[in-house]
Amino acid sequence: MNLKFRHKKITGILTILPENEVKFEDEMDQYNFSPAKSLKLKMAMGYNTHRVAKEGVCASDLCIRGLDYLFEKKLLDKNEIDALILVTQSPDYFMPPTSNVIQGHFGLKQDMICMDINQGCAGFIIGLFQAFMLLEQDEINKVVLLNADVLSPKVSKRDRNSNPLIGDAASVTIVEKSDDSGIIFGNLKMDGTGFDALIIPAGGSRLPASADTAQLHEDAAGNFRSLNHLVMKGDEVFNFVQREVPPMIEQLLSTAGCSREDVDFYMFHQPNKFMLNKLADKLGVPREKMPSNIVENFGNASGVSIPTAIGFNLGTRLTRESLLICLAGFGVGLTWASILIRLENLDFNEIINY
Amino acid sequence: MELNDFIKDFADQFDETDFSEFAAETKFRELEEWSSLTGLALLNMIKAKYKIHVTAEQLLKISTIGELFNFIQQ
Repeated sequence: MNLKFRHKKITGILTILPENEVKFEDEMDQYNFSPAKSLKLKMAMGYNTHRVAKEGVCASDLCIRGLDYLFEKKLLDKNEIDALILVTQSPDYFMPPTSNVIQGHFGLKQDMICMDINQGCAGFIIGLFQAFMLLEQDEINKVVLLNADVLSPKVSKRDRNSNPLIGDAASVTIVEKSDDSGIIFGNLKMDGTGFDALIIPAGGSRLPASADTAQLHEDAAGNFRSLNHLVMKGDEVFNFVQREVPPMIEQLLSTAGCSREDVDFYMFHQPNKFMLNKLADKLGVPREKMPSNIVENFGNASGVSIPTAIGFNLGTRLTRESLLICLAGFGVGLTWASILIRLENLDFNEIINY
Repeated sequence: MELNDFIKDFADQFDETDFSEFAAETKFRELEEWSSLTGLALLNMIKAKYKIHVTAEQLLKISTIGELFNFIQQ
């Protein structure tokens, strides 16, 4: 569906990455493949280093570090937060919402809404849509959108499909009302028939975690994982992305009356370099305009990959310049969504360590 | 559909390999850059451009670019 928003703006983006950096080569001997084959995979997918949280670090810890930083630097006043949205697939608890936990930690005012959203690869876009909708309210002037995932403990170390690319991270995005009458265009689609293309089968109500679900099994490609682990049908996801994302972007741009060339950057979700390069080629967009360097440097932290790409590739440029940016997220759900937005004169756009 | 056009579309799936390495008799799995990912991208291209659905299993039985061209033409 097509969406439109007016009088909204992003005023700051902060990404928080765990300090702990793991190299692809250091994990190669865990995979059931020859080193030559693994190195070939590294080349094709653009794997190198990824950031993995130390044991015990939760999504909320990364968020709290980010918010602490913004409060200390006086980039955010905690009394001005009218809504706290947390998009995560790795909440601290089943109940309560982790956004409430964060609100409590900082003693934020009670006159506000806390909301957890279970979304992944498209989670930055879905979170922005939710923030824009909340800002329609008279009493909501500033929304803090948190994207955070610590999924590395959910990925088998012996799964060559997922382990080399997984990254942990969080981001804090400030979304506010704006006097600018420019329209923000959006597009959103979902297909729940593909719910098992990316899934953690056990640990929820359908299949509670048990000694049985913790047993490692070898798949046809030689990867070992248990039902407690994240499993991805890589070829299906690849096909889905190549089939659905280019028409979505074309629809978004045509609704906005904007050409491909008008867009300064395509900041897309970062599954791997290979997939992004194919997407850029298919869309007829120069690869320099669609950065694909997040997985090789930090790993793929689902909904945090877009803010990380914006922080890493544009940094302080966005505090001085005005750029038209097309954002797109796609994956788990299946969900695919995009936004065309002008980012300009941000108060901050940076990356810090946890 | 011309063989030469198909060879070009085939070569477009590669970034590093020089175009001169692609011919009808090229055993594509022996190309340094070939990987299962290239295979996925190739099947995607064939589906989008030639409107023919080739499965990964079918592709496994094919070894040269010419054979793949003939397979699609049938």
